[in-house]
Amino acid sequence: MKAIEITAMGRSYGGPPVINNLNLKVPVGHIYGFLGRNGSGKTTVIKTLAGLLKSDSGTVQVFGKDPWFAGALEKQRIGYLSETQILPPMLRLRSIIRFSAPLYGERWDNDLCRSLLGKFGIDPTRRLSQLSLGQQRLFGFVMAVAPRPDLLILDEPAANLDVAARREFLEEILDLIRLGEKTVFFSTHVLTDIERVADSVGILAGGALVSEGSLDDLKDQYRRVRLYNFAGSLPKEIPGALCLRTSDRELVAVLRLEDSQSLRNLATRYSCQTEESPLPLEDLFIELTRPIQ
Amino acid sequence: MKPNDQFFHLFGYLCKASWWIWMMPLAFALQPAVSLMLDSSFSSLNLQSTGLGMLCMMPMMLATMVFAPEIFSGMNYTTPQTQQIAAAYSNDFLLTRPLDKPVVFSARYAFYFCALSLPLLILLTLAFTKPGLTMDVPVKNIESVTFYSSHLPDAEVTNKSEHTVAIHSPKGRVLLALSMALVSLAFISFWPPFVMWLSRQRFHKWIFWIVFMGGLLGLQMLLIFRWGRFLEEVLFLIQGHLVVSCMILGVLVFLGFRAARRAMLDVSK
Amino acid sequence: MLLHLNPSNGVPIYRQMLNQLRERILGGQLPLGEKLPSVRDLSITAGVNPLTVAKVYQFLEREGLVETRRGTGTFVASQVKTFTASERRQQLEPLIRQLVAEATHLGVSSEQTLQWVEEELSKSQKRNNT
Repeated sequence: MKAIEITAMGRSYGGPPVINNLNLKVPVGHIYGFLGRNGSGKTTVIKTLAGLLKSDSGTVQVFGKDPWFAGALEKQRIGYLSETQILPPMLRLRSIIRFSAPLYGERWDNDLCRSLLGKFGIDPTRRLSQLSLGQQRLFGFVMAVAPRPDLLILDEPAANLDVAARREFLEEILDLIRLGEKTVFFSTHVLTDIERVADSVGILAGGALVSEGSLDDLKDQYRRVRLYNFAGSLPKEIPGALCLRTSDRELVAVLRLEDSQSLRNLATRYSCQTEESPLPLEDLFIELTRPIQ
Repeated sequence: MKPNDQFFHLFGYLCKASWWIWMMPLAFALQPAVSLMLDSSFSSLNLQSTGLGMLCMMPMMLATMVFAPEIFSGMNYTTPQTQQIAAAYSNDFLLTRPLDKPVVFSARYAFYFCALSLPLLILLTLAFTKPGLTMDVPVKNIESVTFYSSHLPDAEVTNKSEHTVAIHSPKGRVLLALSMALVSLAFISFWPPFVMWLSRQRFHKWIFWIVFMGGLLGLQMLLIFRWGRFLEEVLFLIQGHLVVSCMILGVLVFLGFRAARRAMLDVSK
Repeated sequence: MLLHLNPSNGVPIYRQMLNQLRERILGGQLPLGEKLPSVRDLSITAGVNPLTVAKVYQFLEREGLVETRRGTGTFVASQVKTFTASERRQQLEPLIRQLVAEATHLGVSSEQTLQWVEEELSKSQKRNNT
């Protein structure tokens, strides 16, 4: 069974649809990095997965069940950290824990909770509103992983975190995954985080995924290609090129190359010499989410 | 956790999640209690009733905070206290805990209803300590004199001075408090479904605010300027038909509960 | 095992790991038959997804560089099949191509380029002999 399965999902807030025919699958055991520019609808998808929003059309399933109708038992399996920190600010942290922990029953790992709080230097006798924004974020993260969820959904977990804290939380994600049969779905603007831990990525633009698959495949296939030493005149455009920069004697394009043969094909087709270099995810992201003009 | 345990666990949480939220029931209780209990005699009951009308705002605010706090979160022009309450009662927090959704709803409803019934009970108890009600009406306002003397139960009319008559009703204050409580309960049961219906509409937030603030202000204006004797008549009508009123109110509360529950669970496909 | 991984360059992490492990096995830094860290342990020390490590081991196994023994772990193969001439050429080709491209760019003549390569080769031979 898939941990997450979204088919033809649509959702609007009254105006034009924010999500339009979105299809997305995350198998159990994967760390899925969910990317998209600001306002691309990432949070809408994540809130739908957390059972906070209802989709207008299509089906959304988490462990085979629509999260909107999920009951206590199903929710025990899902850990969720929202984009804006929403936890009771007036309560002491230990009261928040005392409220949440019993709801998870056996699942709640008190030792993990305590050790993480210690690691992040968070004092549970303080009130949430007394913590810094970064610490609030970390506390939210602790609340999401302490029940050892089968699916961890994180919306911008890296926001307000310093480098060390970010590394810690990535380590925790990996630790969770190492337990086996666990799945992590997270969105972030810090692409190095995705590159470090994620094995699959989905890039959201215009309400649907513009690219999805294994991160390794994406990096293997998308290359920056330089075409130079043309025998004839420069071609006006190259089909499938995401980005094309021309000078009077050469072309630089971002291209999806299926295998090593494709580059040679390119060279013979345009009778020129070629050179390629890998493309960092950041550049690929920018190219894939560039609005169509 | 079994649904029953979940309910009490969550109810306890809602009671202590933010002490700011208790300001609403407190404010709700204070004004009618003061205006009804402190004065020894009244010239009109409208003032008391409008006091009650003003306080429709408190149940509405509380309903919004308990049932649809996301309306406040992320808004400009809200106080930090409001934001804190919005976070503590938010769907983002409560609906992502392992709780059954119907339990979240019923715990919220129970909290909301208890928090607002408590002040009403206090008001009634206070009224019992001082049950008599005296009205001072100018003699020349003959219409008022006949209105009150015919409507106040067991009214005794005495001449207080050359220009005023005193109309005394031995159980008047209790009955007035009771009818005010019943009107309040009707309002209390109306707000949750209204607020939840509003929060589920997909228009821009400023439209929401126009409905919210406009409706609120409009209601106040209506109560203060346009209703004349209407409220007093409603109060007396309720006093005259207590059993029927209670039954109608029961139906209203039930319908309000059901509508709000449906709005939150939304099982439509 | 210390690996130098740079997640934000365009080369996939599994490929970076694969290259470094391959070099170490072929270069003899990891003796034949040596036990490699488990998928879990390597994923902890390298701070990467265990699926990535598993993938790397799978590739190495396919290349005949490591062996997985059920229940005991992954080991450097007792006999490492060295590269054939064409495989070696395939490995070096991108680097040679880049060298040629850079040399052409800088306007260095082919004789000069060859001479510098030869100098570098003899230097490296000397280092290996001492």
